[in-house]
Formats: sequence, C-alpha cells, structure tokens
Amino acid sequence: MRRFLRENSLSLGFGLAFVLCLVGQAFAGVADFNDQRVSDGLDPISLGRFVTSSVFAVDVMENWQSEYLQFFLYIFGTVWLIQRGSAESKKLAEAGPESDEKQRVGAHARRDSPPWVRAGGWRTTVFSRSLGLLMGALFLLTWGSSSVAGWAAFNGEQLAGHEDPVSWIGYLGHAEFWNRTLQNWQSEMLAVGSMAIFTVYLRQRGSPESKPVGAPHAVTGQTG
Amino acid sequence: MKGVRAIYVLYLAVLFLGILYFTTLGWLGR
Repeated sequence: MRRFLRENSLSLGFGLAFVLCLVGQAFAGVADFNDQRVSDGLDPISLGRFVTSSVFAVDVMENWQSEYLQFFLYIFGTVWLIQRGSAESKKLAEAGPESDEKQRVGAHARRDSPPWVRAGGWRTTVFSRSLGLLMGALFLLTWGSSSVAGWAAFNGEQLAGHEDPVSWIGYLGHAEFWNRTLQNWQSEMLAVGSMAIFTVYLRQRGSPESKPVGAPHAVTGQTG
Repeated sequence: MKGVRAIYVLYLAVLFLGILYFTTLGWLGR
C-alpha cells in the first residue's frame, strides 16, 4: 500500500487536493451566495441546495473548460511551436510530428508498444493523437457545460430582477458568457507563455519541468 | 500497472460524470 501511494503520488496527491479545493469552494461559495441573498432581503439556502444549483455548476465548469483548453493548445501547439532555450520546447529541428522511427510507429513499432500502435491503420492514427483529442473533447464538453449552467444561472438572476429570461443561443451571444469565458482563457495563455519563457533562464532542481540546474540557457528541450 | 489503470479510469469517471452532473443542473434550470 505504501509503495502504491509513493509510486502514484503525483496523480493521487493532486486528486486529493482537487477534492479538498472543490469542497472548500462549495463552503465558500454558499457563504458568499447567502451574503448576497441576505442583503437582497431573501432567505439563505442550504449547502445541499447550493451544490445542486446552476450557480455552483457554472463556477466549476468555467474553470474546468479553461484548464482543458490550456492543455489541449499546449499539447497540440508544442508539436509545431518552438521556444529556443525552453525546457517546455522541442529542439528547433524537431518541429512537427517527427519521423516514424523516432515515434516508434509503423515499421518501427516494438513488441512492447501499445496494441493500437502495433495494429496500424486508423487505430494507430487515432492513438497517435489520443492525448490531444481527449483534452480537446474535455474542453468542448466542459465549455458546453459551462454555457448551459451559466445560462440557467443567468436566467435565475434575470427572473429575480423581474427581467425576461434569454434562450441558450441568446446566452451564447451575451456579454456575461464571454466575460466568464475570456477571463479564464487570458490567464491560461499568460501562464503557458510565461512557463515557456521562464524555463529558459530559471531552474527548479529535480523537477522534470525544468532543465538541469547546470544546463546552459541556450540549450532547448533538455529536461531535468 | 493495475493500480495505475484504476487511477486513470477514476480520473476519467470524475471528469465525465462531473460534466454530466453539472450540465444536468443547467438543463434542469436549478
């Protein structure tokens, strides 16, 4: 058991931290929501009612969508885009999908390669892009979910203010939807760009996200 | 690798069930 926890500490540790933060978000969210309700002269709602509300749903989904957009763009973007000297970049001459030999596909598949690599055809084509495809699908699904939850939450506010509700399509063109979307996107783009450039000149000893401490600034794509 | 696969499936399940749950809340207009 101890060994299992140690060998999987990255995914388990972040998974646990995710659950704790989500629970914290629920408690802080209902307190914040009830502050507003009380100041509007309305009765506070329970934690159970809050976590089954579209207000909580849109707050969760709008953050998920931007994270998966970030990973999707990062995974696909780094196939082609290069940053000289960055730990996050391939070497300048390796831009693109690379050779079958380097990627160990086609005639270069090995006996211990995953079954879909040895299968060839469409299965190898799909498997060759499966990480980016999953991240892209998760982005589209979570963005769609944030639009549906945001639409319901928005209409709740409209009705409370004795204003007309809008259709889902109408909400997609509404400033609130794009404000929620773009405020999350901008931070992800900044984080990716800064990570790419900071790893040229800065190091984190022992981290695979960094070049080795003693690596020259000019060396590209050599991770610690 | 069985334990690793279990974590992989757990992450996928949390993501897809989470998306389903939060989308449903929206569709229900809660």
